[in-house]
Amino acid sequence: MTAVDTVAVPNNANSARDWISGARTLGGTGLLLAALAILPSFLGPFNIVLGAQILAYSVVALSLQLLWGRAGQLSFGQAAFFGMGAYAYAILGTRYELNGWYILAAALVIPAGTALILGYFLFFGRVRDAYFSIVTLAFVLVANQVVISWRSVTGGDTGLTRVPGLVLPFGGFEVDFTSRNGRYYLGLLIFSIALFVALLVRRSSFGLVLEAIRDDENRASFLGYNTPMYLTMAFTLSAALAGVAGGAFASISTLAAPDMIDQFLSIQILTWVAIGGRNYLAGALVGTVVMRVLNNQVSDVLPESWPLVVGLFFVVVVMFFPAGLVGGLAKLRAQLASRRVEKARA
Amino acid sequence: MDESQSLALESVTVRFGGLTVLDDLSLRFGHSPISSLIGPNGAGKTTVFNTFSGIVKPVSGSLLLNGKDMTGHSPIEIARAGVVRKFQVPTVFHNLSVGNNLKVAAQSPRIETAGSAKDIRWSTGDVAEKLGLSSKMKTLAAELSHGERQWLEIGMAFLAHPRFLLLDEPAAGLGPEESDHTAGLIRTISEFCKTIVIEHDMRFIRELGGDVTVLHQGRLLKQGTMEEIEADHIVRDVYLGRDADA
Ligand SMILES: Nc1ncnc2c1ncn2[C@@H]1O[C@H](COP(=O)(O)OP(=O)(O)OP(=O)(O)O)[C@@H](O)[C@H]1O
Ligand SMILES: [Mg+2]
Repeated sequence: MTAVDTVAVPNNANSARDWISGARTLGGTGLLLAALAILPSFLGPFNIVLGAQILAYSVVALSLQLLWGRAGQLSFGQAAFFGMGAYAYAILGTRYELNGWYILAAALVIPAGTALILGYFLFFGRVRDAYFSIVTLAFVLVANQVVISWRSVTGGDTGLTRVPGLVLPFGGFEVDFTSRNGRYYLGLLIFSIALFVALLVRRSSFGLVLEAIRDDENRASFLGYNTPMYLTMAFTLSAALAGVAGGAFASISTLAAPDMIDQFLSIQILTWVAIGGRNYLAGALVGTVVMRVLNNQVSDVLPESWPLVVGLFFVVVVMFFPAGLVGGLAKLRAQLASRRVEKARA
Repeated sequence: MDESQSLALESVTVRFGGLTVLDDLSLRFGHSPISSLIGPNGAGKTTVFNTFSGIVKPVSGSLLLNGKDMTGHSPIEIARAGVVRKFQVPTVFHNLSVGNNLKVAAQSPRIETAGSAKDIRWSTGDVAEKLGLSSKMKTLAAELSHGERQWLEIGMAFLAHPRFLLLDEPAAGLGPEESDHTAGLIRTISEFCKTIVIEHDMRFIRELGGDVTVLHQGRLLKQGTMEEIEADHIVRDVYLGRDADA
């Protein structure tokens, strides 16, 4: 044999069907984003800001979904990256007159860089599953301590207030996200970008390999995949999204506070993803909306016992819909469809 | 001897605690497209595969791929160098569809070594057809029958660009027809890469053809053609005799 004798056999038997399903996904996503874009005209001033915050929270839910749903590693540290983004934004925004892009970049790069280093040591050190969750929990506790103790920079317990809203220069003109509507559209913008990233990951071979690793990491490595590297990359990407979400949240709320970087927020994020469905992109938005709205409504009516009610709701939903609300809906639809097929046959 | 297509152990000893599982074992595969590795339960067959794929590190001796020393390399490096295996317990990605299982395998990274083997890039569709799984591309692997899962794993291993394909008991738990289909698959595959098969079923090994290596208590008992093996009375005593007793 003299040279590699390569016969490329095109693999496009399914490409037409893939294309249609891709177009349908894009169509659905476009419709959703369009609906979200006109939503502010139906919301009162208070609810517009709440909506903007929910959109930013949905991004952090998407970021956890990427790690937990796709790669199977449950992080309790998502709020640490969210909070790092929020504080990076708030500290730079209040102290310096910086170009908005730099502040946003810092809210992305600092959490992502931290996750890259932390993920490298964890995943290449064979830390997985429950141990991974515990280490990430410890990480958010440490991050919280740092924020509370480092008063001169972070404002300690009170945090940082009067954080300026984001202004992004585009060549000659600039887009100002400081008005009430502007804040909402900042939330929508980063939500759209995060959704697009999540869709790309889902359809890419990177996402497929993550799913394979979730199923059986050993099998994947015996196929030659560098699985610790894949997991580290997923962790880093997830932290980058969480950081941007935190930065946007600080801009929307005009503050950064220690409760944006603590274990309680981490657990809340987890409940949003679990309620919505960790394997369904729509679940990130659905879960976050349901839990945030429920939180606000119930705490208004029952100022004392609301955590109990919300907690109970969570337990019931997870018991009856282990795949989340969107997962449960998808299953119901599949059952109805198959019943219809049976009826047509009969 | 031509070393460009060989997978070998040289004086390999493997111990688990106090138990010597491979005992100064030297073995070489690659002269025949299909080789079978047989031996009684606990002889060390799976351990030979584990040593080939870097899961088990020998206390002494070396592992050679195409004459190159691969001792101490990680399973990932060895897989990329082209030693790919199918496990004794079928391991596929249960929550992925058949099509995606094949895709993950086909896209797995490898080291291009020009001139080493006839290198055909198969489409997952073609392989699915050979496996008899074309109509199940969208089915989750968890929903396949035992036999189908064995075939899927063989197909995945094949798509992962092996130079050497190691199959640990590919016919275990299969009925006669499924077993024949498996033997046919392996013969087809062996046209493209060297294939080493661990099996207990002598009928299956006869069907495969190729040379046979007999392992006993971590040592090489005999290597030869099926006829030579069957004629050997020591082999018959320690291993084949078992069939007569049963
Ligand atoms: N990881 C391990 N730790 C301890 N002992 C082991 C380990 N792996 C294998 N052994 C022992 O090594 C011996 C050989 O095992 P091996 O799995 O290689 O046998 P085998 O020839 O594949 O047997 P079978 O036909 O039953 O699959 C057995 O006694 C087994 O118990
Ligand atoms: Mg075995």
